[in-house]
Amino acid sequence: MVINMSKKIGKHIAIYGKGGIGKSTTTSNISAALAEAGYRVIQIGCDPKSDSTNTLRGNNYLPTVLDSLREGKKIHLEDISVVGFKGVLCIESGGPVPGVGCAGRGINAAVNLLQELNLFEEFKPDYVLYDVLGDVVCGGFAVPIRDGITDRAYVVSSSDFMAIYAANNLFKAINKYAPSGGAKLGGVIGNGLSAGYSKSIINDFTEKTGTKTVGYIPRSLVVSQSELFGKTVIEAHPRDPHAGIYRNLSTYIAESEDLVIPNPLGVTELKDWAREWGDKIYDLETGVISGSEAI
Amino acid sequence: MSKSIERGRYGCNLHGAIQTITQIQGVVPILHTTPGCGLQHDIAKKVGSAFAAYVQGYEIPSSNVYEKQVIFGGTSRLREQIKNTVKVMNGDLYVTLSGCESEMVGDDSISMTQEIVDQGEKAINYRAPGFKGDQYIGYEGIVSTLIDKLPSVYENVEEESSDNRIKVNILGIIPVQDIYWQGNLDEIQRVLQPLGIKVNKLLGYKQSIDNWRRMNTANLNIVVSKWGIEAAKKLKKLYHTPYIVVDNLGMGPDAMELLVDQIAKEIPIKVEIARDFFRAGKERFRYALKQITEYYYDYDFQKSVVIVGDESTTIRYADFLTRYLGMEILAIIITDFVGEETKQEPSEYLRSLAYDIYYKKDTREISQLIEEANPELVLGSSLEEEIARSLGAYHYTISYPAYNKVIISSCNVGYEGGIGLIENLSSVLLQ
Repeated sequence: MVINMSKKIGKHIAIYGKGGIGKSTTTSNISAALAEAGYRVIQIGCDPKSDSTNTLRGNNYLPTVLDSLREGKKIHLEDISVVGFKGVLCIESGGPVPGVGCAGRGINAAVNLLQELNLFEEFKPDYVLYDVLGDVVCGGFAVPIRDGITDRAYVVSSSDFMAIYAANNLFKAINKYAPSGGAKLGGVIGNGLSAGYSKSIINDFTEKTGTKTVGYIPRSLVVSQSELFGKTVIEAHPRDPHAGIYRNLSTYIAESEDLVIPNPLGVTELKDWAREWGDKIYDLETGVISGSEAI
Repeated sequence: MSKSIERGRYGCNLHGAIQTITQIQGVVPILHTTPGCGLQHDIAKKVGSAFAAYVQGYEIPSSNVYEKQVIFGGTSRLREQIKNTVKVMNGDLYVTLSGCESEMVGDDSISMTQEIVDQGEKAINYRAPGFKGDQYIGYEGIVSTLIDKLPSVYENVEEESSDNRIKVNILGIIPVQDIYWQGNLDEIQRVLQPLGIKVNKLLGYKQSIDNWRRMNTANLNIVVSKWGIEAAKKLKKLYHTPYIVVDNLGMGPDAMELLVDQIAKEIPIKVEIARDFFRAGKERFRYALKQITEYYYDYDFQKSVVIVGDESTTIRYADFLTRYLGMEILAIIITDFVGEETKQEPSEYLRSLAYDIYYKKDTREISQLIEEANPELVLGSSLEEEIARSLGAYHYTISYPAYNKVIISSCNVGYEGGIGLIENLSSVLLQ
């Protein structure tokens, strides 16, 4: 499936990152902030867990695209979408039950179906956000950044090695597909940052890979609490500084055209880089060198 | 570096499995594949002289999975297909064959097969994704699977104690890939019978599951191509049956006597009792040879030749043409091999048969090699007909694919194979 870029309606943005890193939370808050600013937004959860848009629609039931596909009935857009906070159109691709079938192909089929249903022509979005699951483990999960479905991707990462490893894998996928019309990278969104050196680790990684960090979201109780209420921070705590962080991030994503093809690190390179940071952090924690000198 | 193959001459693992088991009476394959996999095999087998099978063509049951089953898993579709097949098709054995897509998404075809076994049906499964290899791999795989799994659904057959004949299984003849497979199995049986040997052909006319259940009773396994070695090793491990690998299951009297000598080294057969048979065979062969003597000199049968085909087939022809017809083998191009063509190691025997030995699967490259060798006669598949014509060389079909050719009882082994070749090749050279 190749979409003619000139006819593409709205900016199509894929958000990737390691499982559990806060992609859905971040994506939903960006969607909410964009909607609050008056834009027409669609958020498509591309994950068999189908919980991407929970906080935008108050945890209400939403049949997934693939559930409807499985039933084999004629599918209408209203069957698989629900309007959430400030008009954000929420869609979940869904997927097979764990351990059977092929979730990667599922994403492909779901996106195909949305095209067939003329979703974008009907809804006329300004922004479409694809919240894609975990690591890019096989071709299917790279679908949103291939074939011109999205033109830009952001990756959510903490300063943990495994999150950066997943980000690096996504960089590899972008690096592979971008030259033939796939999405380019907008940047890295640092999430759940707590330690003082977290920012430095992410910044160092983005610098080494020819990319940049586009936002820093510190760890916060407000985020967890809002989620428990089934709401985004924008909706539950609109005046909290955290809401401001998400608004700034969404403004950046909405306006920025600064897209790059990243240079991922090789396996050994990445390990060496991590080890170097391991030593630095150890020295910092054990007081060998003072904080500012260490980093 | 990887490269594409132009006009390949093989199907896949799945096709190898289908073309093997459908030549066993009473075996019903159940395909767990996307639509078309079975049908492609049906089209392909017609140019490999496998016109009749126990279940064939459109009759072969298939789950015909499509995108829904790929995404959500196809086990329930397979279960449905197995249940319905058992209702409408009688089989002594059902074999589920899972193709590329179902293996990619990890459908549990083993459990699905076990379900009907639990219900009292005889069934086994074979994982047959095409990406695992070509038809040769499929033959190897399904034969190994039958040897391994058949005893779990059927007890092995014990031979009658009154039958004192020496028993042998023939391994390595692949239906379709060997276009003379039916006749070859018959000829081997005809040659070995007078020696008091009972040949278990395993495939083709009147061969059923009983023949496979009887494999364990063999005194010797005779492997006639490299694709039968795995099965022979397995049978040796399981039943301590010795085996021989016959380098040249040739045509003509010399090759037959060598074969019998090789067998006699492993099992106690009295070669003397077959002396009359050999003598008669030799005389008949000479008589046939004599009949073309005049043509041989008048039409100059001493041609330069390039032979293209499976290893065992090319050896057979190279040996015969040099030994009896004085031809000059410029090159042998072998098309059945695993791995990179440049890393193949031809045996010393093979080297002794031709000036050059090549391993190639690409038809264009094969044509180029033939062009470089510039022979007067090309023995190969129908795919080599074009280049032979352009070089003004004679062409005779000996390997797969064979278009416009029906082969039912002709063979290219033994006495009959030799006489048949003299007859057919002479007719080609007289044109």
